[in-house]
Parts: sequence; structure tokens; C-alpha cells
Amino acid sequence: MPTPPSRAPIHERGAPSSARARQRAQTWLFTLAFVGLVTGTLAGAVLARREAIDRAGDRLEMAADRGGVLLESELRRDLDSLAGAASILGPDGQVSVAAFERFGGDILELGVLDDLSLLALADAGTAFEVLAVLPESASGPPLGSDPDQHAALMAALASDGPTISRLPALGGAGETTLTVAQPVIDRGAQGSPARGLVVTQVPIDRVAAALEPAVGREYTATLSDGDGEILGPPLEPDARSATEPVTVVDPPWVLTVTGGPGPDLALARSIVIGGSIALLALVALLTVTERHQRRMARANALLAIGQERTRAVQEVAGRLARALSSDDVVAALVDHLPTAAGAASVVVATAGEGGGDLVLLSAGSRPEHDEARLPVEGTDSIVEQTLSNREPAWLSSPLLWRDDETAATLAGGGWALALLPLAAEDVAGVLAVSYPRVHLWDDDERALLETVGVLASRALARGRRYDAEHQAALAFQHAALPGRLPTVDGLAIASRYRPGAERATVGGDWYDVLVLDDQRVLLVVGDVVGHGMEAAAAMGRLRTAFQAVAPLRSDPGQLVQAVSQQVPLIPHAFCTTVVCVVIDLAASTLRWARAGHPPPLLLSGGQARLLDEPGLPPLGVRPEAEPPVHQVDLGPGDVVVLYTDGVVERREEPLDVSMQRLGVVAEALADLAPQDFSDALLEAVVPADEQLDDVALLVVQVAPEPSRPNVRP
Amino acid sequence: MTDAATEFSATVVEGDPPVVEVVGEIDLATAGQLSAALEPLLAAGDGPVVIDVGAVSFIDSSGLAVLAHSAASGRTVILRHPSKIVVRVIETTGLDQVITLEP
Repeated sequence: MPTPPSRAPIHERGAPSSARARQRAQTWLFTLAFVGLVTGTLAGAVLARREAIDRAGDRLEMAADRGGVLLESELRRDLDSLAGAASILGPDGQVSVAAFERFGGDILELGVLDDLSLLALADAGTAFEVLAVLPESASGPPLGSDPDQHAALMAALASDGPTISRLPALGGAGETTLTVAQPVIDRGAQGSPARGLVVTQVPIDRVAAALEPAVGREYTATLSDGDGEILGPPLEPDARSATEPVTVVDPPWVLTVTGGPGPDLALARSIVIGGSIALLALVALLTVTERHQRRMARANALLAIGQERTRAVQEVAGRLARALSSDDVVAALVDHLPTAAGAASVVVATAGEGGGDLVLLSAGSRPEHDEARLPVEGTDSIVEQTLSNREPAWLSSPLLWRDDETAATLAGGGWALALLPLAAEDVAGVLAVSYPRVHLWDDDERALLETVGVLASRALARGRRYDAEHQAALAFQHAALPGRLPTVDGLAIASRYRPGAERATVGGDWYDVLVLDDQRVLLVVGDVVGHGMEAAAAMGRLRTAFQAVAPLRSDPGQLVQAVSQQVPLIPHAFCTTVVCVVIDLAASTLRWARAGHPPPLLLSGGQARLLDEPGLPPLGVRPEAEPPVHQVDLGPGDVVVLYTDGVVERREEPLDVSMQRLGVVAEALADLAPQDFSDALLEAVVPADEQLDDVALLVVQVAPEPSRPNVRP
Repeated sequence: MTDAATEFSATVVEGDPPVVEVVGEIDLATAGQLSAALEPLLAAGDGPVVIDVGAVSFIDSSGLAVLAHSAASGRTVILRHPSKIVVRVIETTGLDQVITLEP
């Protein structure tokens, strides 16, 4: 320790002073010099110590940082050296699961426990149930099967805060670890004192690595608890040694440092304080890290998937709101909820009429198909409870549905299962969301899923009403279309009607063939706006109107106008499109008029021609006007094709392009007779699996020359 | 149900005359929204009803019925900036006789 030079200034002030006075002055001066010397020495010592402590402080900060960084990288990357496990001991000795509430839940969110490899059940009285362990190699005797380990874990269960002990590593590798046991409360059972542990282990040499920067090379550190050394060589404390309790542990450990360049106990003490703070930092990371872990979890996991989930949630809600049929609802849930919930799969199951078994619904299923049935009644399954109490069940791991085949079926191969009740009007069922890993739901997730459950319930109830109406409309429409077309000498006639496939929509499309007299035939194809029962009913009345007016006014223009004037009297008939064609076999002519309807197609001599001469807007828009009537000659073998807009309507291309394509396809199929022609044409332009709207098609071919001598004038 | 249907909007921009700006596809799922946006305009005044369909990529018969209903109520209906797809549908259905197309 350097001492600043101390010089007592000697003042010779004037001569005449007595010897006593000089002596007094000299005494003062000596005193002053001595005080200066002592002060300077002390000041120098204090300064030097402060410097040393500052240096030590820097080092300990660095060490604490390094301890943190070290462990974070452990958590994130070096999974081999980290083991996490959790267990729940209920008050009745039952083992339950909702354990990863705090630290464990965060670890799960971090993805650290992604690759679960061990899900073992041990007797709760003698050993701890290990729910999740990393890494895969960490198999072996269950946690707590060793008596010391069991005692330590029981002590940890009984304490309020984290406890730290030395335990063999999970998996029986023989390595000694610093084991932090964090007690957690079972949130799953309300008011239950049931507790569990999140156990985290770090090998001792990792602890040493965290201590090293704080202690420095000049010092030797030893960590000991009441039973002996945890870390480092046994030490003989001497004058240069300092010790410090590491108080986060109960009973406290003692960290001792010794060595260094000189016998400076104070500096040694600052070093040991630094070391213990580094240890504290490391232990703190293992224990009191809820907020820290949450931040990491939010930053790393949630931010990355949060936006995608938010979009997916909106997508689910939007699709549920727009869903018409039960199939739409199921498709919205099955296709989009897994992304929104971060789940693996979704199953919708509802009770059929009269209750009893659950029926597993999947998008595209039809009532006539064989359905997967799931027995529920009397099974005492969690599913049965969810159905009866209409409360969600949050099953964090397969242990919670042991021996419950019904729940296991709904979970598929999943490791966690949320069962949400579906209840609205006459709908009773469950929405089962299964997860690829053990999962805990935080409050936001629960609220989200419960909301989806409510939305899905309402949508399903609505979908059922729609389904019922749809079935009725389908039957009604089937009845309203001509059962059998009239046979006309000299004409071959084919018709097709296909309801929309995607949502099984029933539209208001219709076709009709009416014999006006022995030479003339009236063809009508029309399309009522909208879908469902109302459209089907309007279609029925319009078809009847044409049948009623046809005997009176055989001119297609007058016919269209007469019906157009009836439109205000027919609900939902406004804006119906229609095309009327009169084929005169005697005159070999085709006369037509249209209102808002796509133009007929004429195939003559293998050439397609769109009869797109102008017409009127749809029925009811200009009821005062009579549509213009156009006429073309009709030769032997010519084909007239009438259709509804479902045949040509494409969202991505202009109508004229679609109609041109229809002409090209028709030309290619010109050799086929009307029946085969109809099937081939529809298959080519509206494949069944791409058809959105319903379609109607009427194909009429004039017989080739030899077969119709009787209609020649 | 297409994804575009989720992005549908029909907004009334006040002015003289007010303009209904429509974005997205007008079909069975969205025609009701267009109808609701037009309703107050049809109820008040007797000037032209202007609909900007510059951002409309598709219109089906349900949408046409909404437009036809407006035209049949005696008001002048003006479609601004119709795309080729919209123009072809309006022409094919003969609705260009009662609806004014403004490129």
C-alpha cells in the first residue's frame, strides 16, 4: 500500500521568540506533520480500496451478466445440460397436472421443453411424477426415487420460495447439479392447496464457470453448505480469506475466497461479495424469473407467432359469422382454428337428435354418409361432464384423460386437449382442440377459446336451420323443375340442373320446355336472384306464369313482357333473368328474346355463335318495355344451348371471355348427342368440385335431315 | 366465401352528390352491405345515386339486383370507374339501359 510522502513544513518566522514559544511551535508542527502523515496514509488506503472495490464491482457485474447470459444460452440452446420437470401432489395424494404455471409455463412458451421425451407416472407417495424432461437422454429412475432427492423435493414442496440443493442429475448421469426446486400452486383446482414443483438443474461446473470471472485468477473460491464443499477445493482459511453467506439458499451456503496478492481482507471480502452476487444472479435466473421469462417468451415466441395468430383468430371469427351451413361452420373451425390457437387439430362433435352419442362432424360430410359416432352417455368421461355442465375442460396432458377413451378419441394423438362446450338452441356438443405438446392455457388463451366456442355454438345453431331449409328447398326445387321433358318429333332435348357444390346452395335456376302447337316449341331458362327457399318459391311461380301465358302469347317478346308485368306480384322475383326461345320447325327458325340473361349459344355446322343481340334488363326493371325479338334460321343438326350464369360466371375474368370459351368447348363437342353433350360441356366448363353457384342447362338439337320429313312444309 | 369477401366495404363519401365507394367483390355475401349503404341515399333526395366501383373486381346477380332496384326506384344510377369485368356483366344483362356507366 503506497504512502504519500509527508513533509511537515517548517516555518521560521522572525527571530525573537522565547525558547518555550519555539518549543510550542515545534510541538504544533510535529503534531500537524503527524496528522498529515496519518491522514495522507489513510486517504491513500481508502482510495486504493475504493479502486479495488470498483474493479471488483465491475468484475462482479460482468460475472452477473455472464451468469445470466450463460444460463439464457443454456435455456435456449444447450439443452443437454438443463433438465426441467414438474409435478403436482394433490391434498388427497392424487397426482394432477396443471403445474407449469409459472416458470414451467414460460419454459414451455420458450420452446425449451418442446421435445418431451418422458412422461412417467410414479407413485405420488414415494416418488414424484415427472411430466416433462429434457433432453431425450434424461430417462432413468423417476425424480425422487433416491431417498435424499425425495427428502429435498418434499422440503421444497413445503417451502414458500425456491430451494436450492445439490442433487444428482435427472437421468442418472451421475453428474452433480445445482437443483432449484420452485414450488407452484395448482391453478387448475380452485382453492386447492395442491402444489407441485418445477425442478431445474444446472451442472456444478456451470456454476463454477459463472463464478470464475468474479473471483479472478488470483483468488480461489470454495462454495460450501452445512455438509461440506459444493464447489472448489477444501480451504484452510487464513488471514487473506474472506467468506460470504449466499443467502438466497436456506440454510445459506458460504462462499470463501482466499489467495490474492496480499493480506488485504477487505479486498478479498469485496471479491467474495462479487462472487456471491454472481451466484445470486445465476440462482435468480433459475428461480425468481417469472417476469424475466415472460419477457423472453413474449419477445421470442409470441411476437413471432402473435401476428399470425391474431390474423387467424379474425379469420375464424369472420368465417363463423359468414358461415351458412353446418359444413361451413365445421370447415371454418377445422381449417382455421388450429393456426389461431397454436393447436394441432380441431374436432367438432355434436349430439344427434334425441341426444345420446356424439357425432363427429367434418367439413363436407353429408347426412347420408356413415358418420363416426362417439359413445358418451354413461361413460363417465370428461366429455360427458363437459356436455352436462357446459364448462370447458383444460386438460394439460394425457394423464388427465387416462382410461377415458372418449376424450382420447377427441384428442387424437395430441398431448393436451381443450374441450369447449357447444350449446345454443338445440345444439349440444363439444369443440375439441388438441395440441402437439403438453400445454397450459393462459387467461388470454382461455378467453379466446371460450369466445370461439360461443361463436361456434351460435353458428352451428344457425347452420342447422340453414341445413333444414336447404333440404326443404332442394326438395321443393326438384319438384318444381319439369319431371320429364315433352317428347317432340324432330328435336332431341337434354336438360341438367346441378345445385352449387361448395355450400350446397339451392338457387332459383330453372328450365322448361313447352309445346305450343305441332310445329312450335317454347324453351325457357331463367334464374331468380338469391338462394334458398324464397328463390325456389319465386322460381316455381315464375315457371307457372310462363306456362299460363304461353298459350296466349306465343311471341317470345310478348311472353317476357307479360311475365315481367307479373313480377311485382311475386315476392323475390324482381331482377330475375330469363331467356325465351321459340323454335318453329315448320319455318326452320329460331326466335328469341331475353331479359338480363346471358345469350343463347347456337351451334350450326360445327360453328358456335353467341346470340348476343340486345335484350332488356332483368324482369321488373323495365316492366313497361317489350324486349326486342331476334330471329335466325335453324338448319338440320343445329344445336341450341341455353344456360344460367353459373355456367359462365368467373370471378377472375370478364363474362365475354367465359362465353367465348363456352363456344369453343361447344364446338369441340359438337359431334355428341344432347345428353352426352350436356354432361361433357358441364364437366369441361364447370367441374363439379369448382362449382360455386347452381347451374341449369338446356340443350336442344334439331334432328338431322333424314329423320324429320313430317315437319317439312 | 372468398377471402376477398372479407375485405368488402361500401362507404358513403359526403358531397354533392354523395358517392358510395365500394371495395371488393359484390356477391350474395356482400350485396346486403351495399344495399344498406345505398338505402339512406335512396330515401333522401332525388338526385343521381353515384357508386364508385373502381375497386370492385366482381359483381354477381345479387349485386346486380341491388343496382337494378335502385334504378327501378326512378333514380339515376351512375357507376363510376367500372372495371372491364363489371362493364361486361352490366352490358350482357342489359342493365346498361337503366344504369349510366362512367369510365
